Amino acid sequence: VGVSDKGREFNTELLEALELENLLDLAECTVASALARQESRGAHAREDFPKRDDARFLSHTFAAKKDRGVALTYKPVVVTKFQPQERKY
Amino acid sequence: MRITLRVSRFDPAKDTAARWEEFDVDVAPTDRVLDALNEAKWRRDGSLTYRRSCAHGICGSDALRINGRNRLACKVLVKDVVADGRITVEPLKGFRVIKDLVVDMEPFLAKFKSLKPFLINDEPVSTEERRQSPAARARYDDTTKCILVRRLHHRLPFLLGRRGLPGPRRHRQRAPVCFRRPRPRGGRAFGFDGRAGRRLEMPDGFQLRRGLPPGHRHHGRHRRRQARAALPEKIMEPTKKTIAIVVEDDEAISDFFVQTLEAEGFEVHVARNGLEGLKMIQTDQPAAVLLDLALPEMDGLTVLRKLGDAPETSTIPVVVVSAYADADDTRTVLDHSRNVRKVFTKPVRTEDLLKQVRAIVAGR
Repeated sequence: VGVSDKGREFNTELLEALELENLLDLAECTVASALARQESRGAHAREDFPKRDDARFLSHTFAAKKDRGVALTYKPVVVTKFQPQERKY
Repeated sequence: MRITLRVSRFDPAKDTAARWEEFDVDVAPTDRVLDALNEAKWRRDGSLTYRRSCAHGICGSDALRINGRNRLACKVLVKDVVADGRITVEPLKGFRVIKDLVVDMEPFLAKFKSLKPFLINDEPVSTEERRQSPAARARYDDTTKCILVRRLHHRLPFLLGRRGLPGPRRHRQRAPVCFRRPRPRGGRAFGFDGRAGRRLEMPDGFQLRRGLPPGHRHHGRHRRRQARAALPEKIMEPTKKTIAIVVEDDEAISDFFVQTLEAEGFEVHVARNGLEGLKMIQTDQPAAVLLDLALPEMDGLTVLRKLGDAPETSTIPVVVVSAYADADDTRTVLDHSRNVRKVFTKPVRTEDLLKQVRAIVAGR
């Protein structure tokens, strides 16, 4: 990625390059989280794991970017009013 | 197609004045002017600078002067503005240019902050939530929906100040939407705070239109004119509006109809049941009625029968909007009513409904 605008004022090209860097970090976190979640749930749909797995994955994923790779931790979902159920169309 | 994009450039580090630069870019006729700018920035010169936030004709961040007119670059199609293979793009006038097409919005925002665009109650602050009826809310909907599209800033002289305007005469001709601040039912005071912290009391039924809020002054010719006319110039007689009646027990649906019809310029009256609706139609003699069929007190079919029985109501046009309009026995009644102009089965498309109402009003 190159930035041709060398100006210090309202440099949208530089801004977008910096945003791209952050987007790549986020993309890495998303991919790592999705790979670790070996199930299908809503928009997270996997052909290799087509079923929902509440026993292992009824949880929120926390992803932290490390120097090498992504560290994943999980927090259980607190179910209040709405019981999770399978979506059927 | 290949077009020449003529862009006003200004680099604060190097330039003392704006200069023109031309980019030959390949675009489709159905591309937007914003796409042509992106093409120039992404392929030709990364330092070309302009704002784009939503890029979908909502936020107004890419309001630019395109071929001499204030337009949204994300909304205007190349084919609609291109002339002799060229499109000229400049920053909005009346603002300081920061870089290329980017202007300093601070003066605009500072003026906006000097107003208090919200309701102020006379009663002491309540510890509980203050409820507001949909009807009261509907009366100032337009005002709250103003999203400060900068493309229209020349219609909002008080937000801009005089500098760089195309001339005051022009924006006096049309009242900008933001100036219409109908007085809401229930609250006594409604209006601007302005710099003076003053409140504007409006007599019943009047609307504030045009003119500047208190604390803001016209200049020159218009200041002299304002001084002559003083405040009464700003208060205009309420206009006589065409009445439409909505008979609908579901509040969400009737609210939607009210908003739609009010946007069309109707004075809208709402009845929550058939009996109330019938009485309202008899008294108000509306130009059009939207009638639900499943209603409490008296159902819609009975309302239609009663309307048809009396000569003074038998010609009032009714549009039936109901989920049950397709049942056979219902159909028979609807087909025999002289009032019924059109039957819609819920859900109904706004556009279809409006088309029908417009046709009714035009034909009367």
